[in-house]
Amino acid sequence: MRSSISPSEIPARVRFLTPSRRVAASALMCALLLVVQFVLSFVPGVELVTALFLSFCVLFGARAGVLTATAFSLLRCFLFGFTPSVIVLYLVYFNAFALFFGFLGTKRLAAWLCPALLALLAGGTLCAALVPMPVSALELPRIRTLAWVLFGVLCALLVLWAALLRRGEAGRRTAAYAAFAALFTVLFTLLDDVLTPLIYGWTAEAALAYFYTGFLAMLPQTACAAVSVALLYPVLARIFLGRAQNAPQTLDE
Amino acid sequence: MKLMQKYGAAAAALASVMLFSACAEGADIGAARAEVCVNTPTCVVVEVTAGDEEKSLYDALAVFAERGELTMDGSWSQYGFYLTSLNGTDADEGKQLYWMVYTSLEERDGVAYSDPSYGTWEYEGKQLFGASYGVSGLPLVAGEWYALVYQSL
Repeated sequence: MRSSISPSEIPARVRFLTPSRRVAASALMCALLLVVQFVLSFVPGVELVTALFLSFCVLFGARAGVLTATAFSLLRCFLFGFTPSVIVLYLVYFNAFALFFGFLGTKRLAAWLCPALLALLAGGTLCAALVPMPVSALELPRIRTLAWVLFGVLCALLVLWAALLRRGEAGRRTAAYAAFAALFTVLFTLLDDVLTPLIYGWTAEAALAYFYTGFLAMLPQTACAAVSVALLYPVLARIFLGRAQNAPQTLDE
Repeated sequence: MKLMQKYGAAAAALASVMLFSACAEGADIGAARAEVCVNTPTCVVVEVTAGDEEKSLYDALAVFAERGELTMDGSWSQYGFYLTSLNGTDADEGKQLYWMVYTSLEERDGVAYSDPSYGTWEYEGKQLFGASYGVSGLPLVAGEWYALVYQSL
């Protein structure tokens, strides 16, 4: 029975794919990521690329993840335009993402990692909600509201982890992946805050203004990434496992 | 013939002065008052004569559009209103052609609203800088100029 398989066992089962099946799986995931990103680009603050790609990397490994990340980063330009800073940002970020979650998939996670990460992110978000920020007065109320929403999401994840999820390895892993997804989404914006000013040769003042306006996108995307991973990872793990069970499990098969 | 040319040149000069200097009748946007000074398919310049910092450039454009002085289209994104079309000219992502926002509003209350490293645009001897925000994030400040220019990124 599929339900008897703990998600902690899943990575080891799915990872050993033949090269041709790995390429096929990567191509399918790349197409899915492009469709999902394009369709949801019309809905502000909502993205499912993180949840889909995280689950794929954890279950299919770093090699399939890097293949998909590179193809996705380049092919999306046909839909969203060839902007040099965005191409560099996507290539760096999604490949780092694939490597991290690809290798994390097989590792045992320390019990303190998830609550520590969630507490760190919640602290940072609380600062964004309370500390005065030099942003347009027209946008400040929205940033404050979004920061409180994200703070609520992170606290809810922390409570959920403490009350329910830590009882089982599956729940603990899902909560940890959700926390890492939130962290990576924050890192995506911070990487953009460094790369874009460097590529366009902006002054330090311009880069700082760009950093502050970045909060408008970072806060809803981080909340969305944390919630979507927490909700979708268990479902996607079962779907991906179902596909992989029909495939040879080792390179020798 | 020479006289015709002379009058023709004078008329052209007058038209050009009217295009770039004479602003259309102003509109009230909350407590603010703004005027459209240039209104072409590839450029719109707005001058704010009385300010209301709770109202944005988007609010001003919406009022002008309501009065039929210009047409605009766009969508709300995480960064606010994303202007995709003005006076019938659509942004073209394939050709990297967008409606760029420039303003003379530089810094106010510690907030940087524009920066020369985002790009510059000159209007009647005034230097306008690339805006840090979209049209919905720029407040209407008295005496400031706002330009929307259709150009390559």
